[in-house]
Amino acid sequence: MTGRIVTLNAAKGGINRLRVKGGADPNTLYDLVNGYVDQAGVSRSRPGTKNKATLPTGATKGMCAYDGKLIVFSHEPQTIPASTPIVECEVLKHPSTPDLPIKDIHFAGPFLGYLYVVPEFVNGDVFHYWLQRGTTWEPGKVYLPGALVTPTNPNGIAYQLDSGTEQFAVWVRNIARVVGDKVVPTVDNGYYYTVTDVFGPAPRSGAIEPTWPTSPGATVFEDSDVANPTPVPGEQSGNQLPPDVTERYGSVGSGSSPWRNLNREAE
Amino acid sequence: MAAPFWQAGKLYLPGDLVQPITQPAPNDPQVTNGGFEGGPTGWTFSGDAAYSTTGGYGSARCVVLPGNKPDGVALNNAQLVVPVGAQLTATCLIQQGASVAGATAGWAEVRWYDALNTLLQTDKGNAVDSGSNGAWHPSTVTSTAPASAAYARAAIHLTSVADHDHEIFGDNLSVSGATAGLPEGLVYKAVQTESGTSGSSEPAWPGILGQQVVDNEVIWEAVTTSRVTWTAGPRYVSGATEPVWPTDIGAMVQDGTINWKAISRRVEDEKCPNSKVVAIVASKVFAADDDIVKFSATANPLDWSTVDDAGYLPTGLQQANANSMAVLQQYRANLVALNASSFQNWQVDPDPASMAILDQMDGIGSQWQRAAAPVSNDLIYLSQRGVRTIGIANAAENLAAGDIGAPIDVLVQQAMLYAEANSTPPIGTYYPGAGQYWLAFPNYPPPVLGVYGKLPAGGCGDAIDYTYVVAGGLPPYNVEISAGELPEGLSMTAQGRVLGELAKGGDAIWTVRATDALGDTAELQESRTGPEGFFKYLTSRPYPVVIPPDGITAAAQFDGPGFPPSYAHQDTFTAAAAVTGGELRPLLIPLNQPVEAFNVSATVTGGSLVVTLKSYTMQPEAISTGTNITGGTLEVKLVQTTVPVESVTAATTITGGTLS
Repeated sequence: MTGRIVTLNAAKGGINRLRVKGGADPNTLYDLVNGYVDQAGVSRSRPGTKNKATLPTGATKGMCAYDGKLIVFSHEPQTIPASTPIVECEVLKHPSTPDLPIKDIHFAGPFLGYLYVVPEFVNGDVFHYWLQRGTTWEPGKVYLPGALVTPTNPNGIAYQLDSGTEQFAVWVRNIARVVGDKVVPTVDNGYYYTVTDVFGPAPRSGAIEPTWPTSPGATVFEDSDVANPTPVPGEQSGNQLPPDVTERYGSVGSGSSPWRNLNREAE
Repeated sequence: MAAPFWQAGKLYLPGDLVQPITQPAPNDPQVTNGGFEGGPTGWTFSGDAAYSTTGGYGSARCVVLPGNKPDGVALNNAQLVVPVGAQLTATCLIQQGASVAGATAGWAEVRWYDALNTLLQTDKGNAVDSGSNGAWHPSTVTSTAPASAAYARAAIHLTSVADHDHEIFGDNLSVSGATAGLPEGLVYKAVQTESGTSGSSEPAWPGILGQQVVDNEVIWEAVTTSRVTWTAGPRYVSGATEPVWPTDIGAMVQDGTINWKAISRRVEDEKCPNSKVVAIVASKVFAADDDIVKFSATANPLDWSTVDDAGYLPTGLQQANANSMAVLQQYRANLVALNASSFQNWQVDPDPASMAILDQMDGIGSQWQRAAAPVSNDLIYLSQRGVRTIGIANAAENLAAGDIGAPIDVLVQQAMLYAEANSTPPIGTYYPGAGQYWLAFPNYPPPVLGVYGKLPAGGCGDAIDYTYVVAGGLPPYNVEISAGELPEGLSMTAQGRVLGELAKGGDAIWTVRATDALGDTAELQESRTGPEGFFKYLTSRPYPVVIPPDGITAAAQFDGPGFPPSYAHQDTFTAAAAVTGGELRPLLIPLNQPVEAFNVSATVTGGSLVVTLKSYTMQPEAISTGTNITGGTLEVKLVQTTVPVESVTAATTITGGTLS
């Protein structure tokens, strides 16, 4: 249906859907979406939201929203202008040719709290990355084995706790101890332990590793019963034959093995 | 430092150690009142044994079992501490009185008890039963402390047959092997199951290992313990100032007591397919690997190998062909896998055993991974013909009409042509804020097809390698000469690359035409005439003498440098040549060096003398050629754009041939 064209000349009446005989009123609007009428009566488009990000020219690839920021990717650290703090650049390096630029980002999405990213490098190689971030580095902080940190000024690279600068002996059983001895547990828990007190006729480690506390200054006692020492379990060579081979295969005693029962049924 | 002293009313945890304020009485290494000199003190009599003030050995006092009594024991009360495994020897004297042999018997005895005073074991000495007629005979027993034995007690055991009425006596019990004093390191350990408060007064501490005493809510047990106290200290503490972080993967930096290592965070499991097509569903990462779809372990995207956790979907077994999977996307709680011609809907689950194919349809498909987007109850994807959807009850690719993307098929199909040709796949996404599916084609629409470039200037003999630029339109392109001809010696490939060696200078006009995949054409006309033309002669490099077919020999003499002449840095050039055959081509290329005079004096009796002057700084008046040509051709060419040619004089006598 073709209607009569009425030219809006001034939106004096605002939005008015009441229609009277004669058709549309050139001074009113039937509807106005995403706009407004200024003081001069002129309809204007409502300005939309605007995100402006200034990125290093041609140096980054891809973009995705993550953790309240826009993440872009590059093969080398990029300096993001301070005017765009919502943008962060993650560094993805080719495993054998670190200076190879990224050609494209085929997938980037959060998984288990971190971005899972699939970049393609300019030589066509595609790799998968799971960009665990850890926490932002802090001075004087106690970190545990495997900790991940990112610099206070993120450079797109994560850093993992690799080792300590001081070496300690690993705890072993049945060793005499004196005040000042230092050990670390057989399974690194991020703490070392110092003998701060001993008493008794023969202070020594026992046969079983203590349950090590994991807070600075916490103590644990390692007692050894002098009168009735706990026997030290022997080491298994790993290739010893069982004392009774028939026992190993369940062919003695009441006999629970299927073939034995079958034989019995046959009898 | 020893264990802390016991305190009244203090809360003690199980395992706490204390040492008593008042030490217990030391252990006695000998029985108490073994000869009964103190009367029955220190003895416990059982059965019918009794203290006697007559009949003793050395004195009147002893233990007696009256006649007609079957059994009696005098058990000394001393608790004798013997280390487990050590031996205790007890000796006593027995006197059978008037008994006949075998009617009565007596012996020394050792009884072992645990910490709870439970009798563990009794060891007997030799029985004195021979009927000694009033003589005393010794009985001795040596016993080894069994496991768990806390202490031992020694005894004199007397027996008699039922109908015998004579007495039997025992006396002078003694032991050897018991430990004197208190065990070294004796402390008391709280062994109650829960924390408890000690009493208001110190308990009576037992002096024997393993024995316990109740102290209000605390139960103390005597132990000989050595204790080592370990105090925890953090091993990895960052420094006061932030280190300078290295940017090379694998590089390390020291920070306080920590060595940090820059890591790539790459998925290094060798079974990760490292493909472009990826989706995350059911706590797993799925990635296409040719005709199958591999998935990682649940909640561990770094692990693609653990059996019964990581694995793959056999998508290639579910269809007539085995095309590589090109699209993976989540649809509701399921995983949709598409290749160019097949659709599969997989039920996926953190447990691989629960994964199964739910639906499959051949004939619909997609190759555009990044254009697929789940939207509400649909999965929108880009098919070969345009945007289509997969719904809960159907998967549709109605090529005529009906699906949501059909109205824009015309636009999409054109754009897909360009995307495919330019290897710039489209990117699709669902914008929830607007409820819109957006499909973006990079570099679309492309610029209008055009041919750009200009063959570089050159002279005869120059090698040319130049490619015309073709842009816009839809690749691939075909480039050809549609009109005119390239300069002699040059040819052009279908990609617009011009190769060859200029065989001849002069003017040339040609048209380059490019045709794209849609058949659109664009042309570029090259008109290289006049000053834009190519130099006919070039001797900036050794140039061959052209020998006419009739084989005229050439003999030339030069006052200047030798052949080929190069006079770039001479102020004055003079050539006197006699050409009797072939071509002599002196070329003056002074570049920016001024030349004051140029003079060629030649006699050409055959062949050609070609004089080319390429100079922009020389006064034309200085040019003079004096030539006698009796045959052949003299060509004098001045390449000078800033001076009138009229100022060049040539005095030439031509007997035959041509002056041009």
